[in-house]
Amino acid sequence: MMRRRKLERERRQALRADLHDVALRGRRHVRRRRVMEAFPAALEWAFPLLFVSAGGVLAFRALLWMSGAAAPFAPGLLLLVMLLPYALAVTVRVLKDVFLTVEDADAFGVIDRELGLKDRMAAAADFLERDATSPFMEAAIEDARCRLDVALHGELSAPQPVVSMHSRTWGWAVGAAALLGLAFLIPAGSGGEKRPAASSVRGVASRPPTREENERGASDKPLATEEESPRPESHTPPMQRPSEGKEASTTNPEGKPRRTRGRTKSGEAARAGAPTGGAEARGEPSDQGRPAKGAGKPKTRRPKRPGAEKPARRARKKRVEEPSGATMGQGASGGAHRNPVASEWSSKDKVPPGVDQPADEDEDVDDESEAETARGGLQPHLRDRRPPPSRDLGIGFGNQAGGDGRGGPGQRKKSRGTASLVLGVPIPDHVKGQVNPGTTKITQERVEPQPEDAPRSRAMKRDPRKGAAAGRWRRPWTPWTGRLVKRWFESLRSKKKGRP
Amino acid sequence: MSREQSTVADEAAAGFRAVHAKIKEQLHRAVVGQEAVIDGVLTALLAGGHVLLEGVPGLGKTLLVRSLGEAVDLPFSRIQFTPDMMPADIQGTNVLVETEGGGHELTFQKGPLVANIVLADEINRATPKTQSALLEAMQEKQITVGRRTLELTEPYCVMATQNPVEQEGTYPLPEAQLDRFLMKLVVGYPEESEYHEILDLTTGTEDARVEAVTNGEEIIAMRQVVRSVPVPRVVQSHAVRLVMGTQPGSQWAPADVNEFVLLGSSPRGAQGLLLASKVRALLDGRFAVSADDVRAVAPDVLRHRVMVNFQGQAAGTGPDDVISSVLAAIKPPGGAAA
Repeated sequence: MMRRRKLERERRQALRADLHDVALRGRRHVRRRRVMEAFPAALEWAFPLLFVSAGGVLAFRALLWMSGAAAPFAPGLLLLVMLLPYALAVTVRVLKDVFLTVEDADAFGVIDRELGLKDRMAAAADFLERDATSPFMEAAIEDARCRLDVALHGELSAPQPVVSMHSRTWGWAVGAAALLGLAFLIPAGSGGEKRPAASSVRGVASRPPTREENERGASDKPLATEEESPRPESHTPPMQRPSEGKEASTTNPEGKPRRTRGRTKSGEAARAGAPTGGAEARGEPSDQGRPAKGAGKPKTRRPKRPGAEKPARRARKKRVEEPSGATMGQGASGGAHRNPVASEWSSKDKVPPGVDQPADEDEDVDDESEAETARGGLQPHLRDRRPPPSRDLGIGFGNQAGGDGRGGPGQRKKSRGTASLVLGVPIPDHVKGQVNPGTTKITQERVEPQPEDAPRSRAMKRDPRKGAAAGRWRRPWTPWTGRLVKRWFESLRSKKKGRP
Repeated sequence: MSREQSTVADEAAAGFRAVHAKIKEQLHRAVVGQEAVIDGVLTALLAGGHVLLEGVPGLGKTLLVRSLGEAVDLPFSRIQFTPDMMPADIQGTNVLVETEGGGHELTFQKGPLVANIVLADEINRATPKTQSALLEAMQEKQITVGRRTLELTEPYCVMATQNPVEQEGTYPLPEAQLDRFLMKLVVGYPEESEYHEILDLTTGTEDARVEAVTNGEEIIAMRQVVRSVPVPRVVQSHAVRLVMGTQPGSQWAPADVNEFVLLGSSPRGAQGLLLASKVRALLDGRFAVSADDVRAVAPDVLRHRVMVNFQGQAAGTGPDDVISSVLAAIKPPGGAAA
């Protein structure tokens, strides 16, 4: 009995060793397969890399060409650009995949699948490790032992690389090819004598004006660009247009865009309305065409502070008022992107967080004299003028101080009473736009019937149905068939009538 | 010792295959072709499950089940489900019976559900109330009427049929009931060569006779053999992943499942996969289940457990398509994705 057990143990040890060899063989095969799969799989990484490198080549050649240096066609560079990303991707992929651990299940599994062993090796390896085995487990182990020779020496199929890529990957490839083509379309010679050395933007700005631009003249020429860019001698500087003789646009020394102001007074220039600076397209409503406020009147206000500070303060104050899209006169509409009929309630209700209205600003004006001349003592003093309290919701708008919870004309209402205790979620009470679906309009069109090609079925051999028969198509009863059946019955009846 | 054990297993497996072959031979006397359906029905019977047969009328579904009842020599009953059928009609009810002394007493009259092989013909024509009467019988192998609970004798197997085309006046089976079927087999049209055999068999003077080749005890013993087949851990993991792959939102679910599946398979699906795989392994001459067995039975076992959502129905995706995508996404151990 003991001897039999010992023999059995030895047999099991031998089987374990053989299964270990099988697992090693499986691991080697899995690694080989991963390497083979890495080559096509690396294309997915290589094409985006190729796109980037092609973009680099394009930029490099464009820079060379613009700076006037020679940019000769270099096949070596092209080859390098194409092969380097792929080599890099393959290397990374192989290193990543090959050094991954191959589990026992995969090692046995690949042998079982490749050699058609139906998981016999995996089952035997599993059952050998269990403490208690059933007769079926023993039978499975014996079954595996009989097939060990096949598992150890059977011929494994050579792994085949399979290229299957997403369309996005092909998109990278096409993009890279396009960029490379573009890069090598750039003329090989130096382009310095053809183009100025400055950047393209500067080049456009400093180029001599075309005839169309000259004709456009003073009517719609962007002032900001003209003032910023150095003008050639032949170009007439449009400092003062005929229609805007008093207009003066200013540019600060730093070249930053600064808004011109158009308040017309005696001795001050009218505002052009167009912003200065090339980039900013923001303006203020023009007040051209209105009579100058101070024309012919003696100045009644007495500044308390030095007069140099006053225009700046006034400009700051003016900036608080947001321009609307409705501009008049010839000023460029800085608020053109805004809705011309949009209400400015919200902008006046709110006190923008960045703009405060200090109380001392009101002190610029002498209230006593103002009361005598303009308000007749009926209006409150300016020092009492405060921005109206915010009537927007307090819930969810913690940055708005001064809300008194009265609600307002904005979209969001203050919830009061129990509702404010229940949920702190502001709910819009109206939606901008159409308040109802509107009237229904029915348009009848007379369309002539057009003939269409009817699909014709082609006679062919059909195999018997195998799948589910749900949703079967039924052949409709055609008029032709109906007539045929009718004629047949009529002929049948006529024959019966003819009989005695 | 291990050799002796393996010999025992070898003999049990051989006996299993022999009885299976005999039953199959008898079934082929009455039913021509439909190899996959016959294998599926026998798998369900030997694995201890129930089977749902779906197909258009005239394909031999009822004939197959009736012939099986004759071949295994087990009490067989057929219930033709109708919309006006009530649970008491199939479970049984207490009836007032006159006694010898002239008195009366309530006696329980067994319904057709009390048998070993029950053919529930056109099960989707019954109302959900009547369909639900089958739930307890199928899962717990017992029926409860009033205060009386009646144990059903093993082997117990419900074989239901339904017609997929005529859906008017039918009640689709609820998920709870569908889940209790081990397999859903789709019965298709026969091949051209099989038509000749069918016509010769059914339009002649001779009637096909099916003989009983086994009995209930042998079927129970075969079920024990099936349960003895071990499953390696890697194969079990693969079955679990396949089932989880049908559940939207799980880590193994492919994109199709997340997009088109409303409800995936329950753990009963995993149980069914392994039980059916064990039968397949035995019939293939193996003593342990392989991942290939699991994958082979997956469509039949999981088909009725996957519910496709509205997007899937609109896209024309069915449960079989979903299972195919799951099988494609979840590779067996050592498969291409290893």
